[in-house]
Amino acid sequence: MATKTSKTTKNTTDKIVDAYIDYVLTEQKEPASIYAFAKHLGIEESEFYQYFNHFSDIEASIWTEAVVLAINSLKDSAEFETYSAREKVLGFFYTFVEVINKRRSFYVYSLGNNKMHFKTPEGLKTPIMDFAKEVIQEGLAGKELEERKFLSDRYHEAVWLNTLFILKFWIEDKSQGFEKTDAAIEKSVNLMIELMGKSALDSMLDLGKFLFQNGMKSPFKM
Amino acid sequence: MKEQVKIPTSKIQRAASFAGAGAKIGGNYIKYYIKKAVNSDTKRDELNEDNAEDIYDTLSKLKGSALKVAQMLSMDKNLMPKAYQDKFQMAQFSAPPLSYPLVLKTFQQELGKTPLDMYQTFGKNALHAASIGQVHKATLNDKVFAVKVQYPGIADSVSSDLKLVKPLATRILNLKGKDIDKYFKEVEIKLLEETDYKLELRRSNEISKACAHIPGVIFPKYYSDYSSARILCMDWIDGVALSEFVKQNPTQAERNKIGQAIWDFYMFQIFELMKVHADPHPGNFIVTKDLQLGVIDFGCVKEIDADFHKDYFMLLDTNSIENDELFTKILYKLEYLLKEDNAQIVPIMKRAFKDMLVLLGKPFNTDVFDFSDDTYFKSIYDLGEKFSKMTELKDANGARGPQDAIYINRTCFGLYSVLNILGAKVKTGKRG
Repeated sequence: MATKTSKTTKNTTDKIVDAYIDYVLTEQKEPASIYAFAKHLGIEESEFYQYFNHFSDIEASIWTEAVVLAINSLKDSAEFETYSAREKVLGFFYTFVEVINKRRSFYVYSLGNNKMHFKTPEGLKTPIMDFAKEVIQEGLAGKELEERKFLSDRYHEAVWLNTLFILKFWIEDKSQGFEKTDAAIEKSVNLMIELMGKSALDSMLDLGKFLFQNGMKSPFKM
Repeated sequence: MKEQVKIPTSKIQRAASFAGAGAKIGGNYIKYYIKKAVNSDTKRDELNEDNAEDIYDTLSKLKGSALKVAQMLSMDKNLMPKAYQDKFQMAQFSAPPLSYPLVLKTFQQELGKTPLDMYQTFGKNALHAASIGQVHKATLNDKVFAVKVQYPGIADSVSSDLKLVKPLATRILNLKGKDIDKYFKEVEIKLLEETDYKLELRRSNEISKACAHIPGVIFPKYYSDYSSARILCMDWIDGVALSEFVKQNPTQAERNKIGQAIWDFYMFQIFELMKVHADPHPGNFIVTKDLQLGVIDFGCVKEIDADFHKDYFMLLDTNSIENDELFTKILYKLEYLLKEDNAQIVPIMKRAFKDMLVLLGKPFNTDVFDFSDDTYFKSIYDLGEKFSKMTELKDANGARGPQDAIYINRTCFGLYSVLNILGAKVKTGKRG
């Protein structure tokens, strides 16, 4: 039984994660219980709880790690600082998809699993939103993105919705090298960033506000 | 032959486009034509105006390879007026350029390096959009390169795009699905080849080496260590695109010089190399300051089968056209005439092919040909129009001609029309 130095902590986490991935990919379902899984792994159940509380925690940690890895390697590239907000978001998605391609089976399993429970993968949303907020702040400061009352505080949620769209596309992508996912990223992010910039959206909001103020509820009903 | 005429086909655009040079067309021809197609298809007279509009709208919304096919079919069938063609070409360029992160990703995926690992400078923004990719300018040790990067997912969408355009094409041209299969196969193969930059690199090297001796023509060098299936690196050729050159009001002598280089280049490929750059359009030629013709983009190369070549080009020779026995034999062999054609239709079709061939072969049968002569192009168009009104030809059966002819026709069409745009007088001469 491993003693709990930080080195073995790392090792045991990896060991649990690897065994868990192996298990769900082979069985296409969660282990019956933590007890059974610990036994399968050759550790005490109590040891499992030192690292994770539940299987969903394992999945969450895998997703978080993928996002963090993508963001770090993106920020490591020499050109990152020169990127516009659009390029940063694009760069993130391209790197992220590359990361999850490496363990595609697991991620597809995890998304499918979560779809049944109508949950989005935990552990994915928070780090992506944090990154999005950071990039959007810069974009707003540099006037690449347009400050809009109420709305611009929630731009990062659009990035999150975009993530879900891309993941959904990626699951179903059958093209060679998942090239079509690249095209989906390119096109959806372009649209999103353009809407966040000075665009037709402003004129639309302006008209909407005007009609509302003038008591016109629906412009299409006579 | 007791079999009835099987399908009431559309007009004999096939005859009109036979050896390929298309007409320059004006007016509302396509709408008229589509209306006709819809008409005979449904056997109902009303509703058609709307249908024609619908088909045209769909056609103009096509993108990517579907668009190319539509363009090509229309070109081949003399169907598409110039104005519409231009519009279609515009549609192709409307896709926004690839973002730099995607270019970066493509580099890493394909070559395992970033652009800046490979070059001293690399333009983040694309300078031109090509039909399936975009071009960046890069430098290394005082040398300037053009680096072409392909859009993602192109190869994958070829087949599905073709499926999309097929019902449309069969409907407009009023053919049966299986008649057109062999043509679609040919187009599919070529389009897939176009997405393979490694192949393009090999062919570019081959053709530029073989054509290096032709005066007035230059080729970029290609760099295989810097290229992959979706990235192609070549020398940057300083100059302006041919369409730009024409706008700068060059003198007649300058036009002729460039025109001659284009002609010689094509004749050498078709008759000596038996392999041809099958996409002659103004964007694929660059004119340098010292009036050299730079040829780029060998994505679409047609290798010409020797048998087909012999028969097909015999048809451009007045002597073989006048020799009735030989002429008839070739028409059957190339399946422009079919065994099941009845006795009444054969002479009419022969007459039609002959008239068109004499016209299209004209540049080959004189010493100097003036391609700026719009009346020549108009007479091709008029003849096509005349055939289209002949009921006998309308009733003739199905798709005709070998699939090999598609790209050769396209090449000839492109060549004639580039020379027309250029307004060049060219020593065409008898060959040999």
